[in-house]
Amino acid sequence: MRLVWSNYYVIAIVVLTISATYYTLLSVRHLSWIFASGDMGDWLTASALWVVPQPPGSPLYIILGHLLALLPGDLVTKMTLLLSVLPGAVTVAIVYLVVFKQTKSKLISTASATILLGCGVFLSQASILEEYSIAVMFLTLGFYCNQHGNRELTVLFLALGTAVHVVVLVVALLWLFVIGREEARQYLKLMPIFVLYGILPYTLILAIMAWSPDPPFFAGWGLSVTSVREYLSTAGVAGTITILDFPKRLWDASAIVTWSFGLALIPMVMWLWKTSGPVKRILAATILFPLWYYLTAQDPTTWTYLAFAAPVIAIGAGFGIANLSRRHVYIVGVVALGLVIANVALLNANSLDNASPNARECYQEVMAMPDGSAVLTERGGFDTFAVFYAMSQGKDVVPVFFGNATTSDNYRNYTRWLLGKFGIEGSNDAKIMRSAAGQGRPLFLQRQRLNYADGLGVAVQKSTNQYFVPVTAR
Amino acid sequence: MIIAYAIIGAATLVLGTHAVSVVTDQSLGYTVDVGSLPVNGLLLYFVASVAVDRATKKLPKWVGWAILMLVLGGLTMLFRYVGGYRTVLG
Repeated sequence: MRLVWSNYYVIAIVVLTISATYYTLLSVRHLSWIFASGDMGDWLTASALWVVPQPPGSPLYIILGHLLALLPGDLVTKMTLLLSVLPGAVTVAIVYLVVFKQTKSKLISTASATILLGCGVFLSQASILEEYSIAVMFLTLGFYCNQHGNRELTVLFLALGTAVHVVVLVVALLWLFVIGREEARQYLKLMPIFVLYGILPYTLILAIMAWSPDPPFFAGWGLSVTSVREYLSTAGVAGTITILDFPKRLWDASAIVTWSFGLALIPMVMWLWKTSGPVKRILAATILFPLWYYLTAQDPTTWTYLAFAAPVIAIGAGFGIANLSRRHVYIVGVVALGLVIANVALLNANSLDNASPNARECYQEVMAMPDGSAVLTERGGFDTFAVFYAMSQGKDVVPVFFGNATTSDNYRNYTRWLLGKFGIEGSNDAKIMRSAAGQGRPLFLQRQRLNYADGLGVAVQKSTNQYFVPVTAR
Repeated sequence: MIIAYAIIGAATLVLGTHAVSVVTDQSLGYTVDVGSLPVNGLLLYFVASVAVDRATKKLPKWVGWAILMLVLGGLTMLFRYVGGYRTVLG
């Protein structure tokens, strides 16, 4: 024990091992919607087939998914463990190292690592198949390298993070803005590295659009300026919450932030308040952007963006308690440890999913459909992604997406694909469904859109299905 | 300091249940109120007006107002194009 405690690098490895074990035990390793992980179906599909994933694309994430798909073993397990659990554990270890560099205290550094380990928001994304954990790891590695004065590696990690999740690009730009004029000038000289590893990977998405994959899935079949704009505009939820919805969102955000960090918020806020300089500005920018995004986005599941702020809040708390007496280290550390223990029961992805296996039930409904069925569904959404995932596993169904038939390039491209591949034709949803029915295909309609049945000219059949209901053409 | 710990500690316990219910929610979709002003519209308008006010301090007032109108008009058109604000501002 004394040998371990004497070397801070050994402690960092111990921290990494404990974190990896903790996240692995709590992780869910099958299709799930827990912790807003409904995009999992889309990521799995994009990792198994070269299809256009949800905007804006996350090219590095799907490249890594494709690489893992080449290895033996279950893809969900591999992606969860190697692209979420492991990066999550690495992030906790980096937090330890960052705080140690500043404070030279193993006790305070361990307390900071414990704060991140007990953070509910970060745990949620480190224990499911999602892109956040690895993107946050790259962002935190960027901060670590910045602290060590290694600009090239800082830019490289921020670029890799950008290639996973575009939010890292926004945070990197904010850092550039707040870091100081001379330092920013030095970083701008390294722009080619950022473009090469962070921006260019996004051309993969354009290449897949141009390549016109089969099936086209979410959007973007046929490359054109209009189809790219339509593809990107489907992600337009940023900053669109209304005044009436805002108080509830503020309440939700307060609850999530308080629960995730507990008493660590106090030294973190005190440190931010009393300190000045670029480190403070970088940490503040990294915290404020995800917080602003969640507070003002229409989509209530964007609380997941708070994961980007989690490591820097733990780091800020570490810097803060370093200015206080040792008593405060114990108080904050013990409460963080309490959250680590409480989350085993309260935020255990595996047991929560087993208690409400909605995603698997949806997937089983799709797998139980007769071969050749036509499924009318929205282009995005958790249940639609379950259909994609089933198709990537070999299920023979024809997805028909609700679409704006008169104005959308993607819709027109998609209907051309339906005609070429299945002989299904029609210039709007109702005609497409009638054409599919004319071929003798069983029809299914997304339960959430049952109110469209009359307009589509279909009759809803009695069914216990929760997600996709059988219908017949009138 | 102890009082701050007590308040945040109590809030952690009280709000914890609500936080867990928010992050474990598996409902599909969400309802969107597009009939009222988006918070960000107000925020951006506020930031733009302060920025213009500061930038044009040494100029006649009417220049500041003219630039502000142009900025707000530009923002409105941007929102219409980007999408989310279309139903609200346009």
